[in-house]
Amino acid sequence: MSRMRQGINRTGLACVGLALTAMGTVLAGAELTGHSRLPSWFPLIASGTTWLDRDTLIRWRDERWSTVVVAAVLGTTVMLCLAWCSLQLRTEKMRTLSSGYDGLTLSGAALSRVIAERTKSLPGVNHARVHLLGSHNRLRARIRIMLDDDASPADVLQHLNTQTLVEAREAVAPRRIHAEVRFQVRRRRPSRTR
Amino acid sequence: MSTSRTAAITVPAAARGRTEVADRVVRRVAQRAATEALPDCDVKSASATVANRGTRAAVSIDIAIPYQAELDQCGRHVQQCVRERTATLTGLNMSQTRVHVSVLTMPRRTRPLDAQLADETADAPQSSISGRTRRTWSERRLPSALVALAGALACALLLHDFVFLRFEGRTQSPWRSVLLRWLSTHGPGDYTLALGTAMAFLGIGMVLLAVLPGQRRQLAMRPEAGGVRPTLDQAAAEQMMHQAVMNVPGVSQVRVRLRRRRARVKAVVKFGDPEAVHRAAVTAANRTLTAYGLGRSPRLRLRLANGFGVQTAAPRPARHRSHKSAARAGRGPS
Repeated sequence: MSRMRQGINRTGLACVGLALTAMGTVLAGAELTGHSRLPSWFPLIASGTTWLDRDTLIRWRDERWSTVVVAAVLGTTVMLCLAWCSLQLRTEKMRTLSSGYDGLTLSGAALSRVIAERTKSLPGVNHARVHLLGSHNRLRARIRIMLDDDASPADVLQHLNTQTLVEAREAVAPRRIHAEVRFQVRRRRPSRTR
Repeated sequence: MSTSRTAAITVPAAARGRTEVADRVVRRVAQRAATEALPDCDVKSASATVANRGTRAAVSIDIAIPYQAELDQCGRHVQQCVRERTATLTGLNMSQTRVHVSVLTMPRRTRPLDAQLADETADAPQSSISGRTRRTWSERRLPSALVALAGALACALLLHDFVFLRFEGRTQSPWRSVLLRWLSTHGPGDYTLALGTAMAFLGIGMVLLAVLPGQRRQLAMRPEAGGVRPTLDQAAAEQMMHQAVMNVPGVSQVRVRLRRRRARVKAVVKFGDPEAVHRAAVTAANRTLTAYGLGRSPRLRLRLANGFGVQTAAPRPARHRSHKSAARAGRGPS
């Protein structure tokens, strides 16, 4: 889901960005009419023209199909933009994990709480928070670990890999869990001066 | 012989009456069955309804079980026990048995955690499947939302005006007639250069947002196992480095700037032999860099200035390579 959203967002941004760049270049290039340094293929705009021709506009208005086409295009664009925007607001938190059996469910909150507890019990971990995301068969655990001051992230990661994540994978089998781990330390002011 | 006697005694079915099992009874039976199914199973809440003239029952219970392997199988076992036991004891058809594991309790540990950890690290093969170090890529939610919102607003405004003009016969809204008038009287040459340049730069910025990974403040760590993507916050790494260098005796006023490729540490020697302090600081900094476990260790650049009263020949501000590349260089030609 997050992969998909990232793909959609980046593609959308790239498309809009390229369109804007092209339009901007043409506009800026129009100012430079007469400059011989521009390449021959550059779409130059003749100097006498205006952005909008009244006569053409009136002729277009009289065409019956133009009304429908304009309304349809605008409507579709609005719907697309709203869909894109609402995609950003969605959280993919797993509230309930369904099992392969009918009528048997597992609470996502309970699972993330217990994984957080197990992570907290590792040496060097001060605090841990877990969010369970993803889909029913491919879970993503977003684990945020607050380290102790003297802990080594590499060691904590190794303990996490060999203990907490192994347990979690066994617990939710046959589903798969992918862990996104983020190590942090508590911000504090340097207190020692020498 | 005996069959004929029983037949004589039996009351016709219609006159026999009906046994009704109350919802509460079914609920209590189901609760009891669930607690008996697993040793540490606890029922958090339960509800039961008997329907279809007292012949069918639906049970729904929330349970707490210990966190263990194969949670699905445990839940399945509880569900089956509840269904069978309730059906046997009440004589009802179980139409639905819903089991929701709402709480997972921590298992009781017989051995201390550290001993277990020691075992596990000993068991774990040293050259396990180490996943590739990959940077996390930003989803670009905020820029996308802004662009989408702007597009939706602009199009909705145009559409609203257009529809009212065409189908309701209203007059154009003033902003649109102003816009149309401007567009039909102006051509290239009026403000176009500024407008075009601004649009082009905005577009280039958006393309860059789409192409670059983002999340520069998170340093990618070596995963050391499959199915995990660890990152270390840059601020955390800086703070740890600060503390490590600060703990070297004789060092004060430490400033750290750590990025993906370079770690710059500046400090002042307050007392002691500057050479020795410098060596100790480099060792401490390199140890910290190793402890990060980053996929790509940043190059260390440590500069120590002499503080007031420290009198030895000023140590040259040397450039030190990170522990890894230094080791590689040492191994190489010699």
